[in-house]
Amino acid sequence: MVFSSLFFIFLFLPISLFLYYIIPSRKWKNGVLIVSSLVFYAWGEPVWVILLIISSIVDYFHGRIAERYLKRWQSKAALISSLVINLGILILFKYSGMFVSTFSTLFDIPLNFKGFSLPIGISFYTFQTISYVFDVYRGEVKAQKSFWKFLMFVSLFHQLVAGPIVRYKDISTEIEQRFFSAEQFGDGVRRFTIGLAKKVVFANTAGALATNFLDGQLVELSMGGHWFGMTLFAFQIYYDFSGYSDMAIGLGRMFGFTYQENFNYPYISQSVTEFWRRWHMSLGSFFRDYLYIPLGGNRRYQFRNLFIVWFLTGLWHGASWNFVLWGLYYGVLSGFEKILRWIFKSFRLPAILNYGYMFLVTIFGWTLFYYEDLSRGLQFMRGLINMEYLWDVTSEVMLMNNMWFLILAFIGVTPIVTKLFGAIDVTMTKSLFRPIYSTIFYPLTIITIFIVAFVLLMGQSYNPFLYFRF
Amino acid sequence: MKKSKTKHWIVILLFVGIVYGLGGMTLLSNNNMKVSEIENRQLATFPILSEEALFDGSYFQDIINYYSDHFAQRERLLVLSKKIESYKGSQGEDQVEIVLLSSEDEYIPDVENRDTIMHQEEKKTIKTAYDLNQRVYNFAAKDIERFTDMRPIEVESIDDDTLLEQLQVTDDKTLEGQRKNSLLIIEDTIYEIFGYTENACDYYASAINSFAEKFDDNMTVYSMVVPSHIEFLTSQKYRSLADSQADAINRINESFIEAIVPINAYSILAKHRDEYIYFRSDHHWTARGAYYAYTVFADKIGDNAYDLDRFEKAELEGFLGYLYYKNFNRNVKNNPDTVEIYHPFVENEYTVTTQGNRTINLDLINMNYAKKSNKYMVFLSGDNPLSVVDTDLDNGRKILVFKDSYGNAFIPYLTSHYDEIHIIDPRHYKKGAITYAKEHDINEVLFLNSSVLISSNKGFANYIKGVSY
Repeated sequence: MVFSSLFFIFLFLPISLFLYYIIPSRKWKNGVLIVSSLVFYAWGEPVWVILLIISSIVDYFHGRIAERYLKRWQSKAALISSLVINLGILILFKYSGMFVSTFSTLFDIPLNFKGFSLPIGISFYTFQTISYVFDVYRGEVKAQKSFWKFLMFVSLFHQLVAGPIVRYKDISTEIEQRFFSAEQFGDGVRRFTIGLAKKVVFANTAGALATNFLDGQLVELSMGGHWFGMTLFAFQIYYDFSGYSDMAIGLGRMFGFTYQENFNYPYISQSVTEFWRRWHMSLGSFFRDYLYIPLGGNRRYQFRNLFIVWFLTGLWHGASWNFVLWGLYYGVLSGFEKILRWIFKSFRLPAILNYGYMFLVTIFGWTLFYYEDLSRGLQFMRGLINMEYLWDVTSEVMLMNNMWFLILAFIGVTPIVTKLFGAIDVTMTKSLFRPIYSTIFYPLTIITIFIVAFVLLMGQSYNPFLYFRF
Repeated sequence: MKKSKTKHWIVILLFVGIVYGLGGMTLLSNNNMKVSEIENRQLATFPILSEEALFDGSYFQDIINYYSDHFAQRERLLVLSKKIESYKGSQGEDQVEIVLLSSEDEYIPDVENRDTIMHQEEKKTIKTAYDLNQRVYNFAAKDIERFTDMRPIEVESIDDDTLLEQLQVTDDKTLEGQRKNSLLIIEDTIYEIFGYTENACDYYASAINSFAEKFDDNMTVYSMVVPSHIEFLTSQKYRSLADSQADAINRINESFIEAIVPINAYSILAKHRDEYIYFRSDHHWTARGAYYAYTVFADKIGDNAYDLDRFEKAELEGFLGYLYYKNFNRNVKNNPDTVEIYHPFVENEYTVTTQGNRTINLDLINMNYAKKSNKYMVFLSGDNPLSVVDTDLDNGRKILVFKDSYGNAFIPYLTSHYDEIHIIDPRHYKKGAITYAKEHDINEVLFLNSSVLISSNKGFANYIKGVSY
């Protein structure tokens, strides 16, 4: 099930919220969360929900063992065993197809193995349980004594499918005890609404447009069309991913959980290093804390460590070599930036040049990311610098047909809107107009966005497969 | 402190009100609508539980689809959604817009191909294109009693699924990317943006060549490829969005063996480009367009074409065609098409033979469709596997027409020249067409297709090859 479906918003969510709030006992609230999360997951993965439960059982015990024998070899053994099992599951389900086909191409051995279908969210929940066992092993958090509470942590439907990667230690107190307030719930609604709008209004629209440019006949596409198309994809992937994170954070708040932010306006970055501090933050910090630093960080083998981290960052995004290339591309660029900073010390280029540089970097980066077929990716890059064919009519008409949308999408990737509304909120709350602001303006804005989003969702819901002629 | 919570409380109340209100209405309303009028499509039905559907997750996905198709106030909200979407940009001075068809629609430049995709999706209820046709009949001609309780009949011959696979496998992979199928709207006219591949053109010609080679010299094979609307767009700027259909048609004609007689409908349509020869909201030509093509054809077969005045004219107003339902353009809606009908003056009997060997007699111009949404169906009642027109002429001339839906508006004119007209739609026909032609002593064959359908992919040619035995 996805959050951006009428079924979720108007049936699943109201039922689970109702049960969650009507039941007074804390224990049974947890029960409601577990059941609704498992139902949520099983709706999309009726078979692999077993894997989720097995994964929870395994790491529940690993956590207990790691704590009981803290600082002794058994604890380390538990950690290693957990890593082997979790990564084993991940490799088996996500990467086996890729590895086998690479192997068979390299050695020219025909192997007819396509891999498994990827269970939804597996990349997220395996990382979450790994971070849990790791933290227990380091003594940074107490192991969870109750299996049910642990299962609740792993299966929480808010972040199960598309992140953020929530660490156990960040919500350990909320797993035991949650406080509810109108402020929290109302803010959750606000956040969920923003996420829904990002997904439905921006990501879906940009996505529908982008495929036309990126999957069509590239020879007919002008240089401008190439840039236009990949910019649309850049909008799509940002709005899609950050929209899901917003919805997860918002849902979490409605249920009394506080999740970490996952995006911080990545497209306003002035360097690759900054971009990765703002993009998919829970993944970056995961690799930093559980891979880069344990490997030795800056202190020893820094280049090896960086290589491994960027390689795996790329690979995490998908079981295909182009993602690895995409990760390494950013690794190399951030290496260059490090060297430049080391040479030029405090010298900084004007911001406008940095933005230009980052635009080029991002567009070429998404090209690597988008095309699993590298030869087509390279062809697209040639199109990006094809000076002989600058502009075409299709791009012109599409630009005009989507002008307001594009302007809004552009503004939306900057903090302008948030800042503006923040300033209005502060001023209004202090001013005479406060009653009007808090009874009309503020709620109406949120609800209008919500209505627009679900109405558009309805328009997108109709399924052209089912056309028939009268 | 208390007051700062007001805004949150109001947000919560409104949110909860909407979610529970609409959610509850959806559950309570016993929405039995099976068809969406404004989208011109069938709504999802509640899925049937099966072991397979349960474990592959499609059962649950189908419930989600069912839910959104039966959402409270759905039609109204859809209209609102289209309205909101229309603010995303501007059409500029030229009032021009490009509409991208969603990925599911791709590859299917013609309605009938779309049906093939559709029945693949609806395996549970509709197993073949034939079943689908029956469905359409039932729906469109509800008043005809004997259709109402017709059950889908098992078809033992070629399974459509295998054909479909064949169709996907043979689709040209050597080309980079896929031909996108998008629409261009200028003011109140919708055009399909045409694109062709040389491979597909050659393949179509080869399908007809190998058909013709199976006969001796007594057989004459004609081929008429009809260009689509965008070819005659006067604005060069927007015309350049599409490939040249003249090139595509020439490519096909050059690949024919000598035995095949190409008929040039292009030139005469170009000459009459300012007349109402194509619909503005549909991808078909009008009966007037078909008439001009007919005059060229009559010439080729050594007859004189009758004047258009000779046919009794009727008009059906308020026709919004297939292309309109792809984008709901307001300009088009405010200025719908009119279907002009030219009734044949030679008495005839029109018999549709279904694959279950049932025969149904209908009027060649079936006015039952006059009040339906898709008024183009008045011509021949749409596409059928096989149908026969037996006219009152006794000249002994017989012709077999292989056609897509462009043929439907054209065939009525042939009644003034042929004793028998046999019509095969190779997408739905499941038997040997060559055997059929020989059995019926046919010595003229016409392949009549729209260039859109045959020159962008090999699907249609595969259907022709599939019945060439």
